[in-house]
Amino acid sequence: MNSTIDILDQVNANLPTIILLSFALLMLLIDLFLPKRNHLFRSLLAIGSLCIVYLVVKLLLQEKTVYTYFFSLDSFSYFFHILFITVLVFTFLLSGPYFERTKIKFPETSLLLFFSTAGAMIMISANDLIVMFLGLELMSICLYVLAGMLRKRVQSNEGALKYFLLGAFSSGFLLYGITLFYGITGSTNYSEVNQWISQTSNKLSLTFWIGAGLILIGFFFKFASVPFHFWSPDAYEGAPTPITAFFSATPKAAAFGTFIKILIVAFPLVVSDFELILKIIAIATMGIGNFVALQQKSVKRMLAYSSISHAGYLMVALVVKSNLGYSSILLYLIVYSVTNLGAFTIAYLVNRKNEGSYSYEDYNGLATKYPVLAMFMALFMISLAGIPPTGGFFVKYYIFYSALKADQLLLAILMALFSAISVYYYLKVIVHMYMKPLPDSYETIKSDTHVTMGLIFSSLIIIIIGVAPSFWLTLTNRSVSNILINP
Amino acid sequence: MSEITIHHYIALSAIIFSIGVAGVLTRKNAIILFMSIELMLNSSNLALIAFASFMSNPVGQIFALFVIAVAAAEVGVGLAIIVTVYRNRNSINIDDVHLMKG
Repeated sequence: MNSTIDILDQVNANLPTIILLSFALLMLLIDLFLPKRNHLFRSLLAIGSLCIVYLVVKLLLQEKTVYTYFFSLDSFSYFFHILFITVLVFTFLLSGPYFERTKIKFPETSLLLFFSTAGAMIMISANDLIVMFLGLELMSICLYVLAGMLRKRVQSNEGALKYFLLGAFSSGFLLYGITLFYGITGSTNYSEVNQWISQTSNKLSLTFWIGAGLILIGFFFKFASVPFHFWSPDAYEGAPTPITAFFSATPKAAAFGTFIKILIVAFPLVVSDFELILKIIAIATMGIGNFVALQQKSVKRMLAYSSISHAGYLMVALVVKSNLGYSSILLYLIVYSVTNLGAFTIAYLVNRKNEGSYSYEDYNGLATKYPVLAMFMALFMISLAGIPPTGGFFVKYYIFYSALKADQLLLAILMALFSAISVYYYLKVIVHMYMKPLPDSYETIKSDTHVTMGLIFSSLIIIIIGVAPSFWLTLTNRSVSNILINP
Repeated sequence: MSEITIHHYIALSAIIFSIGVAGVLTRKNAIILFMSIELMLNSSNLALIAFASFMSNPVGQIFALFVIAVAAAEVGVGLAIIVTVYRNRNSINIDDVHLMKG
């Protein structure tokens, strides 16, 4: 009798993931009977995924929490599940014209997107290092394929190869770290690791630190933080642009969310020992990300480096290790994901002539020809640069504030300085759109209603978070403080 | 002859892991890089099974099975990516993979 309840719990703890995967497989079947029109399929996907968001929210409102040995479903996992599915809906809405232009088959791509989202959801709800690793691999393996989706383009191949080799390399580190943890603590469950640490707190062996270091290296690869960032600009540049937008949102959010969960549940007693290394890497990531982004000639690559620098800002909040810091990371991830999705979409819409160049010159005079599109892009750039009244400003402000509150003066000052530098390359896009003359030959930009809807929704989210940031911060704060540890 | 203890297994797996890391960092052929990554994953398998058997806790062996499945999936995707690179460039030397800079 007891075991049936346990199995039911396991199913309940994975309910959102199971619903998502069943829907993905159902869509693959439905695709056989649909006429070969991409956008009908996309609408169905987007509507279906929205229904999943609705279901998950409904579960959330009932405050239904489940804790099992391997998975837990608490407000923290709900937050990330909703974020991931929202990113998925946006990817479906925003990617249409690109897939039509490059003739990539959409149904297969969407299945891979679903699977990697499911992997990310497993990572977040995992209570166990090995389960987390399996979720991570499910996510990453789908992403390697997605990066190489443009089979005929050499850039896409190269990006996929680099992403694959370095991603697998980092998984090797992570796995060896987990193995060492299993060997010394006898378990890979987060709470049991924590119990073990609390029993042996003042004489942790060298093996423990090697294991922890390997796990950290694995995560630093996934964050694309500085000594381990080489794969990311190339993978971002080579991948199809809507997929790049997805790369900059879901895997990063999953890595940060999982890391926060591990810090809170498994390593609360040793987290202050990681402070120095996290601090050094945060500073290096912010610095190098911003300075290299300054020199980029391609907007897509600039956005790739800017996402490295954003990882640096997020790591500042990891150093702070307070609930305020963690909840501002969660809020940051919403704003940053949505903004990046919008910015990459406009980047591919504008870059319609020279496939793959993505130069700033493409934006010349955009505001006179397409004022609405230019306005959206300006909003996204302002939000990424962190200028009020957008959501981007407030999330940066919260991280800055949490760093000041934790007496991390140096980090706070450097963060403000680096984000001031970043304003230059974001505003450069706006300068090209509003102040440069329109070129003589101008091709029309092809968009569709889905894209318009997606852009409107993403700007709404940015503005709403900018208008009422404290409401959203309380929401994310509740998610962080209600992580189920071991009831 | 002394008895084989857990330390021998762990030392062996650490050595294999280091060979894998060194291979990834120094070799230029994508297939060899890939083999080195497989070495890293399999060294973890060895350690997992050794720990499991010395702690008489079967969980580690089950995890090793999962890791083998993951490694197999990675082989599938990885070789496919290497093949597409080879088709377009006629080379799998990673020094030739340098189209994107900066």
